[in-house]
Amino acid sequence: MAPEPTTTPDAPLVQFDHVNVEFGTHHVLRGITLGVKRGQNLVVIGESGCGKTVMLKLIVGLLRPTSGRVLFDGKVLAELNDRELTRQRLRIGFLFQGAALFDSLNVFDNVAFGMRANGVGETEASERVRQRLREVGLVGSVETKMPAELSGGMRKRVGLARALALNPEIMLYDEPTTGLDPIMSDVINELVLRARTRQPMTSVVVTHDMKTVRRVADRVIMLYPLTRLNETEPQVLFDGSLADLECCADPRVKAFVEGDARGRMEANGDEFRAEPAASTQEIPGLRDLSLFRQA
Amino acid sequence: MVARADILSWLRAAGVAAGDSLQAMGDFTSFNGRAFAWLFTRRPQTQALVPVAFSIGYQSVFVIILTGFFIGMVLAVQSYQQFQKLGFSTWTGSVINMSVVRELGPVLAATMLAGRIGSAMAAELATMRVNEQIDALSCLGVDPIHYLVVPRLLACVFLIPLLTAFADVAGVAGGSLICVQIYGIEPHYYWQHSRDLIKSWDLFTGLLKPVFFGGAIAMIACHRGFRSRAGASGVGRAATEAFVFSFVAILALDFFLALFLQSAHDRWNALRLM
Repeated sequence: MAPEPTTTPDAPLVQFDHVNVEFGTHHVLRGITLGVKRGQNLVVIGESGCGKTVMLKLIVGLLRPTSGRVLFDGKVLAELNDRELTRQRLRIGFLFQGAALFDSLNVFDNVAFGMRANGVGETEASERVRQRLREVGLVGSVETKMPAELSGGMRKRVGLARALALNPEIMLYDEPTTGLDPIMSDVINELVLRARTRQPMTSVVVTHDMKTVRRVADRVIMLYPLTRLNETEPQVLFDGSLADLECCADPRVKAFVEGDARGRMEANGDEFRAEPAASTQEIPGLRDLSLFRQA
Repeated sequence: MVARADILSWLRAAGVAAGDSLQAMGDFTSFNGRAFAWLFTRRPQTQALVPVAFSIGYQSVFVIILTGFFIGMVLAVQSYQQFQKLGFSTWTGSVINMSVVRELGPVLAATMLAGRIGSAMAAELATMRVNEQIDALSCLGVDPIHYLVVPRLLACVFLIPLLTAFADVAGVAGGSLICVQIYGIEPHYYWQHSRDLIKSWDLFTGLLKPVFFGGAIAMIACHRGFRSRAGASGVGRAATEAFVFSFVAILALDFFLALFLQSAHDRWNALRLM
């Protein structure tokens, strides 16, 4: 069903070549050049709004760069026709941030959706749905539940089962642990790792959860919001292994890794300085509240 | 200098607005082109078509009959007084039924459906856009326009004329109920005059217009849904725009179709006389 690879095994599966992305006057990505090797677990970190999700959507062809090229297995995605783009997309699995399950379909039909749409027979599709649901730890009555009846962690796992059902060569994970409790986050991290054990797979994980980074990364890239950079600074602040990340000297990288915003708050004092609080004596409701607290 | 700066600023704003409008029209045209290309190249999936047809058709029947019934009754109340003063009360039915079949039935039924179906479709698709479900369709190798827009377009184009026929029947029934049962008009003359005035051409035009109204409602609602902005306000705005734009489109289409169909009718009559 999926097309055969067209480049050599050593060539990057995904290649960004001087990619710029602008939405109107808002510049999101600038001069991004990087490659993702086959079998690599690349984790992209960075603050909210720095363009991490945009990178994922460029890889799957949901967005097109304003300038530069994004190549998937040697093919420039923006130059493919609809049919060829669809063929390439079937080689890519995408776990969306909110799982993006189809509200009108139950769990079974959600997972089977891509297979049915692409000509997989009903018997094989049913078998594969149950297998993928088992792999993500969902069995039994879950199949008939509607997405609205599922918890956040279950939705993510169903979304993962749906993405894996088409046996993709590369998995893209958009904030896979956001909004989940620590245990469920760990389950998802484990599933990200297990997805690679069944078949050789490349992964690109976008996250700002350092536990996920430490658990799954072979290579880490840190993006920085362009609004905080001057014209000459590169947007990729860090590109290296997890070990290198832990001892990176760049204070911006260090602050992100340690989750320490004090430097930022001191540097931008006016931005974070609170307005002087109004006297509680002037606001009856607040005065009552303060008396209640004292009591 | 100030005046010149003001003029330049105004011209720049006008240029930007014109550019945005042109871009929006181009986007809508391209969206329609893709939907119609899919319409004629690949059959929509049954599991996508049936729920949409059920929602647009079956679930609208009651409200559309109620709308038609009240249109007929209001027309009866309004027109009976005028006709009675002139001594032509038995002609009331012909005017009511002609108005219902040719204009008010199709236009008001379409307006009602633009509110009920158009807004709902736009809100549903906008929510799918915001929740990335439309992106998920693309990632699973399914064209969102083929899967989501084509079934809605087909359902609207085929079912809105059918619903209009229900509205027409209900309007005729509502008008006759008031005229015959309440005002006591002789039923024989009431129906006789209606039959004399309303021709098959009137019925044909009254059921042809909803085909175009249905197409306009479906395409506007789907386009607004697909181009929704993020968040709850984006979804609400898409639903509102779907209704407002559909309403304007219905009125504009009604005018141009009336002109075209009248002209076609005149030419057809001239040809027959030759």
